[in-house]
Amino acid sequence: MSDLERLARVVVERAAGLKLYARQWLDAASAEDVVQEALAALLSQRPPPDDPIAWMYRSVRNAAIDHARSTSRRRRRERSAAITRRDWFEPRPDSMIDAKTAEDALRHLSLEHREVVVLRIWADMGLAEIGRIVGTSTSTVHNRYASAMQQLRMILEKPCPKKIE
Amino acid sequence: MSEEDRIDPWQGELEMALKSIAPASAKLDPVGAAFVAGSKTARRKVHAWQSISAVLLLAGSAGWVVPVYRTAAVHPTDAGSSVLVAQHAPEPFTAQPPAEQSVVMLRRVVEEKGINALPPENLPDVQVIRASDLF
Repeated sequence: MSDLERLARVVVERAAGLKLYARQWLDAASAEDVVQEALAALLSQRPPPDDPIAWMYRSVRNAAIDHARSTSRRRRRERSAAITRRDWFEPRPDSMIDAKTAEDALRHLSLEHREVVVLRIWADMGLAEIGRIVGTSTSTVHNRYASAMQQLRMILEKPCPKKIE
Repeated sequence: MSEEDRIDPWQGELEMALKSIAPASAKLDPVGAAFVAGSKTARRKVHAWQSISAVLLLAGSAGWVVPVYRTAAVHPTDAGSSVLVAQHAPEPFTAQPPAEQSVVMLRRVVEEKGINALPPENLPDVQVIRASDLF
């Protein structure tokens, strides 16, 4: 297996996480396009980056933000409808938490807090690494993550409204 | 994710719960991406060659134009400077003296010394020709 194939395989295995990260700014189709373009950009790097996954996340982040800024107002309105569609996660019976509930809880967070959670939980990254991707210090990432988890806990532990009989 | 990154014990449970849900799958085309990457790299090489050629062409053109311009232009700094030019003096005209029997010499002799000073005539012998020689 060549280096390029190995690199492509590593990224394809992480494709779902990368798409979820891009979805913080974009709809599903655009997110997939951005990840695909980032993969093409990664494969054309000579020499390849030392940490291709971190490179991919950084590249996806930059491309998603640029893409979100560049689209017209009309397209933005259309896209916002697509973004709000509940399809970040795949519902599975063995999940410890309902996919839609988790997505709703995450949507309550600010973008800054949410991206830290996404990188930490679904990209399996350390706080220092997240700081390098997001462009902030480790302590800021730590604070954001702690705050985000606290908020999620409160949202998820909130009791369901009682049925009025 | 390292253990030292963990902030509170309850976070472990919440993290596990969140990790149990999988993000929606993404369809990536690694072959398509490799093709795009290859064409990008090739295009970059072509651009590099084009740039090098353009630079060489410009340098060549500049090298050709600048010397012509230099010889044609008179710079103000040249006004006061003296330029040494190696010039060969023309060789003196060494005409052959006119012959003793020439009109010029004969006239000069008559003017200076009189008619008696004329040199003896140097005429070829007159050959007697008879009519029988001709016919």
